[in-house]
Amino acid sequence: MLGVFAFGSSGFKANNSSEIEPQQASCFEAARAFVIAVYGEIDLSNVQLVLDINEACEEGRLDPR
Amino acid sequence: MTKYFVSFILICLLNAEIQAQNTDVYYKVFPKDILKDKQNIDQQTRRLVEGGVNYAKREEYILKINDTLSLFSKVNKLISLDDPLKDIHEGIAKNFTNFNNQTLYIFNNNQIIYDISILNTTYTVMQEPINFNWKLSNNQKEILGYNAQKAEGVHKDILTGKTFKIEAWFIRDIPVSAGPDVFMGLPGLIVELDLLRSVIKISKIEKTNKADINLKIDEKQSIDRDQLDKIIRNLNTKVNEISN
Repeated sequence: MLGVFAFGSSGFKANNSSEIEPQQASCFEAARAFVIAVYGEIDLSNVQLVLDINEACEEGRLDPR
Repeated sequence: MTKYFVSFILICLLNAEIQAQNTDVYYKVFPKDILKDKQNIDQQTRRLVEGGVNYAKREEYILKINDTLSLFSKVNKLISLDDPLKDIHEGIAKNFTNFNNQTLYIFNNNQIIYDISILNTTYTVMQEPINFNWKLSNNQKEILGYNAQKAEGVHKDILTGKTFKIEAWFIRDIPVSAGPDVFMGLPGLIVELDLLRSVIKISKIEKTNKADINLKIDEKQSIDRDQLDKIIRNLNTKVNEISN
């Protein structure tokens, strides 16, 4: 269920949506999903990770598959 | 009050300069498998976590001790600059311990001073040592040739407010009530510490004549624990916006 990451040619996107979403929204949702998948929830100890992953995604630093 | 502490620290640092001998204790991080019991984790997520695990394994911490104080901090190491996900891997690595940037313990005054980073802002906090409700066990084992004794305690995470059990091994023959980060309060040096997501183990201990205990404190940013708790409560509101 947690297919959090899929790396398409246009960059890192959430793949749990059947609709085409803006890149920004996809990045943020995928970043949130990653942290929840790994740590169970988003809290003050990992919220920076959400922001960093979102930023890396938007900048295309997460390699396409 | 803050000025008093800062003055006290400066005096301590001055004393540190003339100490004949310090003890340097090095620790390594052994990450636990945080994906162990999780289902349906995709390969990319595993790869990202594995990158963080590798960073955590490369981390080394040092606890500098003299007669007056102890200072715990990360040993700066050269990390590959060509990793485009360096910030993410470092973030994942940090979450295995959630150690503060540096933690100073002033023995005589019974105060700890630590730098904690929250959402890219660093706060310097002064407070009494944390009470872990340590319960000593009769279990013993040898660590680095010393006889170590087991203790169990309870830790309430500052950022999340969640409580979890911790386990420590300490050496009575090194009668310094210090250890990694804020973890202290036992009748001997903590040499192994079992946390929620990692185990911290001593890698070596050295006597040194170097008087290089140093801590930069920004007086204007020093706050007490009550102030920190208030900041955390406010920030938690922002976190809830992100998590919902």
